Amino acid sequence: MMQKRNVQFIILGFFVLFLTGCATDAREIDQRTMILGMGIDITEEEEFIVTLQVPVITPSDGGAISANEFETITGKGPSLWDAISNIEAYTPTVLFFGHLKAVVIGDTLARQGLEDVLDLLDRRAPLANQVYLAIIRSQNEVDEFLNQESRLISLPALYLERFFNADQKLSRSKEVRLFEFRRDTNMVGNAGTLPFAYSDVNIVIEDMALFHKGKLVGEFTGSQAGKSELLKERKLDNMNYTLEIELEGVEVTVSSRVGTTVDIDFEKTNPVKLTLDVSGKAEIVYLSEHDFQTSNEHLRKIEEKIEGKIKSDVEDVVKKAKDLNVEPWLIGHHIWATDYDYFKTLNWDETGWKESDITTTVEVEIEQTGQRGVLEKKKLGR
Amino acid sequence: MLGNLFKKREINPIKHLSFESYLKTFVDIDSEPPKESITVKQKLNQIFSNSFDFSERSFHLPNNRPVYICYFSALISQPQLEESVIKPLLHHFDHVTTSENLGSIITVTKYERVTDWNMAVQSVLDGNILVHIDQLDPVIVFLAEKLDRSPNDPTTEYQVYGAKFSFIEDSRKNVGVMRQFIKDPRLKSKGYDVGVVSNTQVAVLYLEQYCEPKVIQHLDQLIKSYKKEHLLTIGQLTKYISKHPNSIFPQATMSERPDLVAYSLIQGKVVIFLDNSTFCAITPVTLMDLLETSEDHFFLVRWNLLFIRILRISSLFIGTILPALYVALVAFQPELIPTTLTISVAQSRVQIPLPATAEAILMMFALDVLVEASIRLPSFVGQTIGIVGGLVIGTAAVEAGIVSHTMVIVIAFTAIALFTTPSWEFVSSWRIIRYLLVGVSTLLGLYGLTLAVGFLIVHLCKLDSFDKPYMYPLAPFDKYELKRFFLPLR
Repeated sequence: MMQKRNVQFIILGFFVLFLTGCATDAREIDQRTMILGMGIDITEEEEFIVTLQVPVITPSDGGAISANEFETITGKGPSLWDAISNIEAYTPTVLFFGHLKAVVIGDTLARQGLEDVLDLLDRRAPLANQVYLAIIRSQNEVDEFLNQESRLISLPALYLERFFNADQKLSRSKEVRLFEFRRDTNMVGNAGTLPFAYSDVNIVIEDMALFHKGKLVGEFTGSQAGKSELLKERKLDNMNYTLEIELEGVEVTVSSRVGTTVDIDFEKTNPVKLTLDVSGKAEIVYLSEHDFQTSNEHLRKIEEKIEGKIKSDVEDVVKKAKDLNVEPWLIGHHIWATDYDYFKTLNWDETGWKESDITTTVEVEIEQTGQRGVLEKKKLGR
Repeated sequence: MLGNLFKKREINPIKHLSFESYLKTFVDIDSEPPKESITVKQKLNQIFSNSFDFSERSFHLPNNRPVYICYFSALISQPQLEESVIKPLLHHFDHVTTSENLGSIITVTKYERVTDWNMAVQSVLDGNILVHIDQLDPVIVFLAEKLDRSPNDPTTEYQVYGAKFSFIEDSRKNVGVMRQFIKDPRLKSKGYDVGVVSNTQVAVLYLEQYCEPKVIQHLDQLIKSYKKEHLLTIGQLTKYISKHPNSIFPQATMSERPDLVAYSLIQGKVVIFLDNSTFCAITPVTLMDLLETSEDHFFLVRWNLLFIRILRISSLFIGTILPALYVALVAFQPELIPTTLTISVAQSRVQIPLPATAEAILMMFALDVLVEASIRLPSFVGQTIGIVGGLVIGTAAVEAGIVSHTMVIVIAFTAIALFTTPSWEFVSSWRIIRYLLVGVSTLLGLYGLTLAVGFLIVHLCKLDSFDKPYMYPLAPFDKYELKRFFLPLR
C-alpha cells in the first residue's frame, strides 16, 4: 500500500517537473534586449524597414536610476519577419518583446495596407495584443520619429503610453490598441481608426487615420476626431468649445467643456433612416465678462449656440465618412446584429451607408456656471 | 471525533542503564529498608558514593538511641532542619516510640514513612531529608528548598502593554502563578515525573469544561508513555506529543508569559509546564493562534487589532514569497513587471555576475547567519554584529558588485516582514520554506511558485494539532470565528 503510494507520488513528481513550458525560458533580465517601441515602414523597393527602440541599460549609480537613454536599431528585409530577424544579428542579447508598448507604422505602409503587419503582430505570442498603434505622418520617417527625444519623456514609446494612459482631456485623438483595431476591422464595416503622431520639436499626437479594408483612406482632423470618437464609443467627455455670443448687447467669449452621449436609432426603410440623438452636460470654464451675472436666459442662449456647433460638427464628420464610403462607428454592425435580413437588403458596403438618411438632434444642458465668486447669500443681522 | 488520535511507539530506555537496575546492584528496591540505622547508612553511602554534596549526620539521643539523618546539602533548608527536626528530637526523645507518633514531636508540615528503597532514594534526590531513628521505620521529612528565583521581566517575548512578569524554572510555582490569573476551581493540574534518569516534574494545566476531555486523556497517555532517560527541555516533550513530528510547522507553541497562558487556558487549550524551563508549551494550536499575542487584547480600539492582524498575515505572505516571486519575475516572466521598474531592475543588475537565484540565496543565507550569530551573543556584541553585518551586507556587497540594490531591498524587507510574527518557532519554519520556494522558482518560474504554494496550502489544510485543524477557521471555514479573529467582540 505504502509502496503504491510512493510510486504514485514519484509519477506525479515527474509530471510536475516535465510538464513545464517555462523551464527553458529562464533568462535573466540582463540577458534580454528589452524592446519598448517598434516602427514599421516600407521602402519604394517594397522592402520592410523595422526600427526597434531599445533602452540603454547602464549601471545605476548609488541607487539613483540614471536618465533613460535609448538607441534605435533599424533592419531591412523582404518580409517583416526577415527584417526583425536581421536586427537580432545587431544585438548582444535576445530580443524581448514582453515590454513592447507601441507600434508605429509609416504613412506609406499604411496606405498600402496593414494586413501583413497586423497578422504578424497578432500571431507572435510574446507580443501583447495590448500594444498601442499609431500612424506616423508622412512628414516624418518612422525611424526619425522613434529617434526623437522628447524634452518631457526621453523614450517616445513610453511617451505614447503615458499620453494614452493619462486619458488626455483633449478629445483630439483616441488610443487604439492592437486587439481593438483587429476587432473593429473584422466587423461588417471593415473600418477602423488609428491615431496620427509626428514630431517636430516635440512629439505631437492628434487626429485620427481612417482605415478601410486595412488601408489608410482618409483622416479625421481636429474636432472631427472627437466627434468620430463620440459616434464610435457613443460617449465623449471633455469636448472644448470657445464661442462668441452676444448677451445683452455685449460680445462675450464663452469657453465651455461638454460631456456628451449619443443614442443611435434606425428605422427599417430603404435607404436606412438613422437618428443620432446627442445629449450633453456642459460646464462654463471661461467667460470674457468677468462680472457678468449669468441668468437662465443667458444659459439658454449659450446652450443653443453649443448645440448648433455640435450638430454641425457631427454632420460634418458623418459627411466626410459618407464621402469616403467608410463607416468606422459600428452603426452598420449594430443593424447587422439587430436584424440580419433587413441588413442584407441595404447593400451596406456599396450604397447602404452612403445613401443613408441621417437626422441629428442635439440637446445640451449647462450644469455648472463656474460662478463661485457670486455671493448669493444675504447677510443676516447687522 | 477524537477517535483517530495517534499512538506513539514507546521507546524503552536501555535496560542496564536504568535507574532501577543501578539501585538493584545495592539493594532490593521494592523491599522495606531495615530498622537498623547503621545498615541504612551503609547502603545509602554506597548508593551515593562519590557525591560530595551528599550530607549525613549521625548522633545519639540522650537515651542513647542512634539517629541517622541524610540529605543533599544544597537542596534543603538547614536552619529548618535544625529547628524543626533535630531540636525537637533532642528535647522530646522519650516520646519517640513509633515512627507514627513522630509527627507530634517534629514540627514540619509533612513527613512520610519510607515504604521501599526506591522511595527513600528518590525522596532524597528530590531534596527531602531521610530521618532514621534506630529500630523505628525511616521517615522522609519534606523540607526541600529548591533553588529558584523571583519572576523577572520576560526576556524574549517583549510587549508594549503586557504584564512585566514571566515564568521561572519551578513548574509548581508557575502553576501557582496561573492560579493568580484564573481563580476558578475548574483550573485543574496534573503532575508527572517524566524521564527515567532526570525524573523531571511535568505539570499539565487546563480548565475543565473549557478543554476537550479527550485531549487531556490522550495527553495523559502520551506523557505517561514517555520512557526516555531524560526530559530536560520543553521541546523534547512537545516533539514527542506532536502528531506530525516531521511537519515543518510547530503543533504547539511556547510562551514565557503568564497573561498569554491565561488567555490560552480560557480558549480551552492545555498548558504544559516543565521543571527547569521558563517556557511552557501550549497545545493544540492553529495557524491563527500563532499570529496572536496576549497583548492584542490590550488594544482599546478594535480597529487597531484588525490592522495589526492584517499586517501580520500580509507580512507572513511577503516574508515567505517575496524573494521567490522576485526570482521568478526577473528570470522567467519579466513582462509582468511594470516597464519602468524593469528598467530599474535591469540597471541595478547589469554588472552583477551572479544570477538572481544565487544572489537571493546568498543574501538570505547571510541574513540567517547574522540572525543566528547575534541571538546567542551578549547584547553589546550582538549589536556590533548587527551593525557590521548590516553594513557589510547592505552597502559593501552592493558597492563590490556582488548583489544588486533591488535584491538588498527585497531581502531586507522580507526579513523584517517575517519578524512581525510573534512566534519565533513559527518564523523559523517559514524561513526554511522561503529557501524551498526560491529553489522551486529557479527551476519552474511562476508556475513552480504557484505549484509550491498550492502544495503548502494542501499540507497546512491536512495538518492538525490534537485533531484541531491547523487552518481553522479558514479550513474548515467558520465565518463567525474568522470575524472574531479580526474583530473581537467588544
